[in-house]
Amino acid sequence: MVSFLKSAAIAVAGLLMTAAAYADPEVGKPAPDFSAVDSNGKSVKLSDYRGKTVVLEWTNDGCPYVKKHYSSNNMQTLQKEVAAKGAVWLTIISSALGAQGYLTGDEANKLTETRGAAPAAVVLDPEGVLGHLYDARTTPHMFIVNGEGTLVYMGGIDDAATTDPADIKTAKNYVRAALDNLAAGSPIETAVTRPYGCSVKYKTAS
Amino acid sequence: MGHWQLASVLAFFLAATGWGSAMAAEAGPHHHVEVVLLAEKSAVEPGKMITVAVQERMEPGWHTYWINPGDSGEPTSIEWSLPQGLSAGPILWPIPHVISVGPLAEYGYDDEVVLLTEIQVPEKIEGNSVTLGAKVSYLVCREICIPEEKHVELTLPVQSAGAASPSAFAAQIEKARSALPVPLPGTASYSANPAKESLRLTVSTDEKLLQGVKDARFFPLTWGSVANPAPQPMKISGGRLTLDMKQGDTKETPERLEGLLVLTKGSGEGERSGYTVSALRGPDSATSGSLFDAAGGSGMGSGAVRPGAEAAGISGVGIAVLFAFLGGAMLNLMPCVFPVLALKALAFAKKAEHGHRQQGIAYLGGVLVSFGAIAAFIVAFREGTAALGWGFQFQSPAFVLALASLFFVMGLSLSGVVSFGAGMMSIGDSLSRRPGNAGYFFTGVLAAIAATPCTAPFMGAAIGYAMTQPSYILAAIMLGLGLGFAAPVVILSISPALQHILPKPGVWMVTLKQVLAFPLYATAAWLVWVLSIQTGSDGVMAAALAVVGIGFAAWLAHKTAFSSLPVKLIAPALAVATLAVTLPMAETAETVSAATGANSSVLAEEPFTKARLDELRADGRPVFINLTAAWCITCKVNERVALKTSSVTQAFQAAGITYLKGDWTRANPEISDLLRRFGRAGVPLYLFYPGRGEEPRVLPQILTAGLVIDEIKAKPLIASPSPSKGA
Repeated sequence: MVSFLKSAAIAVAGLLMTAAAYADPEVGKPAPDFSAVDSNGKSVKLSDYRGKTVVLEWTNDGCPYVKKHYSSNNMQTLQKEVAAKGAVWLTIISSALGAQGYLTGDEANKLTETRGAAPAAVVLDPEGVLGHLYDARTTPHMFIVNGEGTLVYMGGIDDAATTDPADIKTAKNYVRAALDNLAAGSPIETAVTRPYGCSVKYKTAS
Repeated sequence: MGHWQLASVLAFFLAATGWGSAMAAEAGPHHHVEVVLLAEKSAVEPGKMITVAVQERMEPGWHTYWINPGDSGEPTSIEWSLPQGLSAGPILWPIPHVISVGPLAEYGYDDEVVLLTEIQVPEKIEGNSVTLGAKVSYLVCREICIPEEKHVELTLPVQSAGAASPSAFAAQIEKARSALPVPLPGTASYSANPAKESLRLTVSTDEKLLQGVKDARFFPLTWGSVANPAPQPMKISGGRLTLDMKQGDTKETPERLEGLLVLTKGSGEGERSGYTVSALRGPDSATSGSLFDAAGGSGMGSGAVRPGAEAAGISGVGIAVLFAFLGGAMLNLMPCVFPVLALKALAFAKKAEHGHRQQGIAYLGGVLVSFGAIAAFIVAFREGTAALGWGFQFQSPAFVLALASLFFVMGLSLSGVVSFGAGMMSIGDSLSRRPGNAGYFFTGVLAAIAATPCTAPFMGAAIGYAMTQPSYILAAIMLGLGLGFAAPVVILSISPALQHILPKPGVWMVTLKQVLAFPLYATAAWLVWVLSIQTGSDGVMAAALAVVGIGFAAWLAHKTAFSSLPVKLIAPALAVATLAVTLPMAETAETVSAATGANSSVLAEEPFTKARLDELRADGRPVFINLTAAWCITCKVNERVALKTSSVTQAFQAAGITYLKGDWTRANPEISDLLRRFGRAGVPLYLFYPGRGEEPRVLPQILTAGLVIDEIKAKPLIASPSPSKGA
């Protein structure tokens, strides 16, 4: 009977979690916690990074908007800045198996190496669980979680919604600005912006 | 379709395996869109405008984007290279489609789109011809997205004004032009409900425009305020259309919400027409800093105004307390109380004639202290939870469902399916055996506690109601209950001879208890109806599930009543789990429609907004205001017997009165402000502004058709004849 109770409790908890997953993330509220697997098969849990700033980057290496930021070395530079400050950068791939941007762990590691990227981990999310949890819509789509686990930024990487790398020079990089605000202990000046890019290639419902 | 899908899947695999990625995603020699530049006329004429079109023809399944691409994508941009003196206007965007991509929604075009641009030609042109060049950049997406760029050119001769003839594409361009959105004939406003993160767009226009509309969609011009993928349930009544939308990421409520309203009529694909809309923010949105604040002073605290029941009105408090008193008296007839009462009465009769009064008062004190303690507990609990952010308000669907569940459980209890607190009887027993007045005081306390198994259902109902009231009303109701509860004993203590009028204990008590379950079920049914208006079918489903779950838990509780403790705990755990699932379900259910019954009213009504009221008053027009809510029974009755009758409708029409209806089913700060201004804590409130700057008249809370007609005729406008042109 006790085990029945336990499984009933788990079932209810599961239902509640499903409900929670439908609540969209909101700046100023706790960022939804997650536990996922990275390209090396290791578990990555958001709440383990409590005390550190965490940057979430949704990516798809086939997407021209993502290419814009990697071919120009813009994303890698930012990743290295973040790492140097002791913050955590998680690159997340929510492309479904067979969809553009889907990578196996080995492929993801190879890509990180060839493009000189510096994320703390590349999280593989082919089922789209994490993507839906954060309502990630585009690649790139950026989120910043502060040391207390509060979501402090969500939106685009910058304000130049184009595929032209030449625009990066004149664009305002919202993520860098938000990280600077965080470091200075001041409120995030622009906390919600339009994410731009390709749609995330989620697994279809069928 | 099939082979395209196959081809793109193949492309993905190539991309995934690495070597093919550049080819698959980068725009190679193969383009997915054919771009051509067309002109409406065969030549350009000095000093005239010429319309040109960039036509994009997509491969099947691929699409390009509207000016606001929605959740992803990028609109087409055209960079013109024109001879000296010619200037190009902006792209005239045709009506887009919603393109659903998994959980996202994009706005764009498939198959083919014609982007019109008007080019102004100067009076003086050098040379015999002009070459119009356009660099067209666009993102084209199917499952994947590819940025493409095409340079197109068109050389046209220069001919004197009036000499140019229509080109071969004139008809096509004219067709595209006639399909362009036009400014909405009428007015548009919107309001936000931050608690539900929803927006409501209200459009007032020509009735004909809305006739036969089967679908409506608002395309916001910019990103941020409106969530793109959320459905937009619509409601049309006469010349008024409302669309409910979900707030977007920024939750911004700009002064004007700009966008495109697309109406679809007819069968199949239907016939779509687009209207540009610039909706003014209604002052009742996110924050209200309106004139109404004058009366209110400090803002609404967590419990400053509790919209609850209609009884919260000025005279309502007394009635509520009176009912509480009667209810309390009725508690004495419950099976577990009545025998106690009978015993006490017997004791009074046996003993001497004097001294009972004191004992009766001691008993009263015991009862009142108990009920007072319950009231204090509820207030403390409520304030505590309010600070935690629980909104104990009828506007919260979860609360309405919780209340419905409570009434249902209490009904089950009266029906004898479940029982509460059977073990509490003995707690105060020893105390009550003390001699003298102290003994009677504790007998009062005991009676209140001992009666729990029978009184809990009533207490639950009373508490449920009292929850929605300000603290002082809550206290008054609980003490009213206590007074009523103590009354028979107090009366008998004063006059023991009266005991012979008491009925004899018997089976009738159980029957009475069971019969009383049905009003509770009826109340639960009514609450589910309120929920259906707040949330639509999803909320009703949540309620149905809650009832089934609770019913099952009740049955299980009965079944396991004599089992070991862990087994016994399953039933209550199940009930709690049921609520844990169904309450959030109700709370997050999409709002389908407002409480204003669309079907029945013959009286042309407009939604109440302060802006509309101010506008009408400024015009000197008479206005009748009905502030109502779905959960307000009085309101519904008044509407049926008075406001919706043909005599009232005719009287309103004859007097040229505008009928504004404010729906308080869900929180609406603008309506709360107006209520506060007239010293009301809740609906109904009926106001008549005679127009011409006269002071508003407050109508009673109970209406009849005659009363309404008299009221609006009572004081005819001072300066007659009426200047109202509309009358």
